[in-house]
Amino acid sequence: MGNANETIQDVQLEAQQNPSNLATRFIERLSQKWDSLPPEKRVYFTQLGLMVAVQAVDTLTTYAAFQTVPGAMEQNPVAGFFLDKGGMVALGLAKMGVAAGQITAMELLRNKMLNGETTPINNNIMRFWNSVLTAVSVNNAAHLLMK
Amino acid sequence: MHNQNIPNNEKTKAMVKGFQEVAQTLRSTVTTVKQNDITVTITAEPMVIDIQIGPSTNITTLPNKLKDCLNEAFKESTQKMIEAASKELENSNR
Repeated sequence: MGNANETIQDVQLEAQQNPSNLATRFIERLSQKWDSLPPEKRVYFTQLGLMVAVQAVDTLTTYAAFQTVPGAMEQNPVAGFFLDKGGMVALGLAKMGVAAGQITAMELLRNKMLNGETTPINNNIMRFWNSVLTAVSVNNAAHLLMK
Repeated sequence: MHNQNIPNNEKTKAMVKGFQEVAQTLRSTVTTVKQNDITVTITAEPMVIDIQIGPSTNITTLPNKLKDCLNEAFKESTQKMIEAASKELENSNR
């Protein structure tokens, strides 16, 4: 696990020595700083997290550790589509996309819940977000994995 | 600190700004890889913007060489983005 005093030089050094850890360390640093980031930066880093997700499978567990939205997004229609069409590889990618999408939607849902506004409409908004982000993730991953 | 008191319209604006920032960063991040006499240039969108094939390349081996070169370019492009994001993250709210 990373620690809070780690510098970018440490991260880059490790990236040179062990490139597969680069994505994981990024997610760890992101999780440490998540609460202090403004909303637009959360979107920015979540999108980059999608790229991370397609690069390193083990980041999925780290994603799951710090995102807090419960399992409503499992019904994601795009994820279901890729599961049907693409088998296990597509399922893995789609799930990673869902996890990343949850992060982007997390603050939105949390605010709605705090305000007592968890209506079906809001759940649909969440599903829409996840569908879009999953599609982006799978699109990127397809380029990396197609051989 | 949390942003629970930010109105939803402001949050939407922030998200749009975030996505625009992402798009701009992806488009402006260019990676060039040269291997096996093939040179590929891509952006992080990902979008292939240039492919150059040397005269020595045999047509029968071209597909595999091109595939390998493209895969390497996509990999390096992703790593470049993550490294850039790590730097930006490090500089955010120090």
